[in-house]
Amino acid sequence: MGCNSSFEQFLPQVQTPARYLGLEHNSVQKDPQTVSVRFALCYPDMYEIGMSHMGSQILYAIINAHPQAACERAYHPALDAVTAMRERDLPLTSLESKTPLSEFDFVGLTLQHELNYTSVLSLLDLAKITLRADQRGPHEPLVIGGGPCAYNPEPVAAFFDLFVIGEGEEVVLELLDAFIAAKAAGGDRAQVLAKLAEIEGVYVPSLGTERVIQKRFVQDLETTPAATAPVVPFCQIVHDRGQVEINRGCTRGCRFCQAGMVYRPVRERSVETLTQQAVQIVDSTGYDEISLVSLNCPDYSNIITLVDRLNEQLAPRRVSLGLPSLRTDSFSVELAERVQRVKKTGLTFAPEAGSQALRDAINKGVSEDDLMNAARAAFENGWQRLKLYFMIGLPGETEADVRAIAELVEGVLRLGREVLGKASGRLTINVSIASFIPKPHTPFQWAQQNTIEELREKQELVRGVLGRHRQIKVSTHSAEQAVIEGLLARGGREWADLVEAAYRAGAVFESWNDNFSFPVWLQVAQDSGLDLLAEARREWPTEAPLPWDHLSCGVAKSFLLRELQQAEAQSCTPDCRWDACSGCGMRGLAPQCAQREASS
Amino acid sequence: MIERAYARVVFRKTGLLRFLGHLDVLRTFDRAVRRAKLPVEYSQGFSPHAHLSFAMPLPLGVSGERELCAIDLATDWQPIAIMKGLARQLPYDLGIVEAQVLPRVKRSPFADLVAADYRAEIADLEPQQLQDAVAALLGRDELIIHRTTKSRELDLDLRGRIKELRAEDGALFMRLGLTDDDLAKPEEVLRLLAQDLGPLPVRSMTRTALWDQGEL
Repeated sequence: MGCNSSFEQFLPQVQTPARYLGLEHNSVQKDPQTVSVRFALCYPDMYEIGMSHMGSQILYAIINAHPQAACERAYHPALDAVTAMRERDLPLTSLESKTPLSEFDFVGLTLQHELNYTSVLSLLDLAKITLRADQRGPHEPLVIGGGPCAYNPEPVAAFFDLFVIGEGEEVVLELLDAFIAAKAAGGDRAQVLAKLAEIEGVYVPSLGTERVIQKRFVQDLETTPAATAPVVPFCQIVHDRGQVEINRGCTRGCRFCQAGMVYRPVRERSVETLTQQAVQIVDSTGYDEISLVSLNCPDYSNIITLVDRLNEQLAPRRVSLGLPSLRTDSFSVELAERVQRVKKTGLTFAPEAGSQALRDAINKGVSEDDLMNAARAAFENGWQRLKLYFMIGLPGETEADVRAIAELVEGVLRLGREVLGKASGRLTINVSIASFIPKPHTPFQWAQQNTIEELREKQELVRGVLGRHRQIKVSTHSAEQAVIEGLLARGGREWADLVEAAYRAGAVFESWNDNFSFPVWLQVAQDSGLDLLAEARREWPTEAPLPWDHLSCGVAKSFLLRELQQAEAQSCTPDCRWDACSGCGMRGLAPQCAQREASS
Repeated sequence: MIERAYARVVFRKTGLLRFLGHLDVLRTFDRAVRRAKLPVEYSQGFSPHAHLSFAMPLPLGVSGERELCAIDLATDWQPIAIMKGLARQLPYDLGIVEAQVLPRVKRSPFADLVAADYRAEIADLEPQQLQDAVAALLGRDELIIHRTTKSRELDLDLRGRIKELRAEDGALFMRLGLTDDDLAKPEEVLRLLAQDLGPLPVRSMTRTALWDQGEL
């Protein structure tokens, strides 16, 4: 217990020690002696963020259901705990058995956000794992990455032994079995890796980029296990509620949206299964809220039936229901009305762009009438607080497009006053202005990103107009963060040195506003002779090879290019769920596409 | 049949879970009560929560062997069913020691608590040394400590507030007043001893009991 007692020593000195205790309800403690493979599932951000991530909860359950495998968790400690650990020379350990991460067979890291890359290095370093994969010793863990950023992991490829491209539910079990077999056959590190590389969807950067790696995805969501007994935290976390994934994938085809491309095809679970899963989650966690997880809730085929059925089950048990994302139309308001019978918390709409021309260019099939109808329905049904999401810096955006954002919001404000009349005193419109970031595997992957100055000017333009109105609150995202995220999103292998240098110079938790260290990035780039800002605004010719050309999400590059041209022509591509197949490339991979084609 | 019943639950807060904050304990009990499907009274409103109250929350890092929680019941229920139901839903270190079902009272269920027992394990000290220091302390007429509260600073005499104090095998046993005008804190007693012995390295601090007026 020597390790444990020194671990306990630092607990009195840190904020929220509950983050580091383990012992949570539904956490799984297996005897390491009884398993053949130990997997440390890590999240390169704080406990409160990582524990909210549904994907990690799913993988935790799947790995622990394997009789020969044990999965334990670790998160990046907060900065005060990092200091306390360094003072005592304590390595980062798993929450379950307090085993140093360096003793695991696998250390898995989910890459949800490019700005977490330096935290990935920090976490490995705290665990005393050699940062560079090619320098790791024979007994060090295999460091494995996954998640959306694995669709272009090149900037951090040097730090990983392997990646899983796509959805992990099936491939993680294949990895465990292949690992157990390769170990039993006496394979060394290189031999084990070579075996794992044979699995479809597994990308081993050290084996080169000649072979195209096709993403993995589950064909049938209905039979795919869900996390129905997720780990329940002691302390409050960001999403402190049960999560039920109703569908996966979205074919609306917004041209900036990576999730909308890489999670294709659309798959759904049945109302019966979802109701059952929601009840199981409530039974196993005691949560008082269940939230539906989806890229686009209203697109679920039987959404009204589902919500009614869930309410029937959950309301008597004093469990409320939450909806994450809404479409900008009055159907969505009707849906929200069904979900929130009592408390009218805010409603969120995402028109993304201010002008019709630009909304067409990004393929956001929403008209001004749609938004006004949705807003009217919301006000008429008693909502007084609306949140509107916009994006600036989109390809082809003009000053008039930016002004149109402000005009559109003012239109909603006028409508609110008119509908609410005397009751408009509490009317609030929160406007969130994000910055466009070109992401791999989207039609806008070739787009030039705005400079920091351009983004700031556009933010100021909107603020200047909307700042006059007491009832409108504008929030903007850091332009500097957007630029760094954009660079890392499209970076190649040559970025590894810069990411490591930034980590060594103190950049960690870069996705946290107050922690983001832009000067560090500028400095380390300058030290290596790279003009970061020039790189950020360079052009991306469509004929040049891309760093992620060897990784396929199933959506063809030719389709993305066609979509880019459609964007330039400000022409919409209809959703293939209600219209003809748009030929994105998934058809050959997904039987449901062919089926839909046949039935329509 | 008790008309308006509440469960008076004794639980422990030990091991690593002594580092749980009070709100975390509250949240954990609320969820455990829901999972156990106990017939508990819930608050009204949009996000109802179980009617739970705790006696004198422990400071972070201090263990408790007999902590108290009151759960308002919607209907009379068997204490054993409450114990078993909760035991399955809580980790050992937040485990249920015993449960009673009693009629609810108008005042706080813990209004009668007057004293608490503490055990402090002291490291690196000869048992005799500790014993002598305790004897010397108890021989003094006044035991003045300086206390800083949120609103003010004051000097206090703890003499009457320390109900019992003795050294046992290198550990310190304390029974201390708990009400607002009789409160003594264990770390204040340690500070008094430190005047004699120098700083005392405390290996662990445990609240071993909470006492009602009638029980003493």
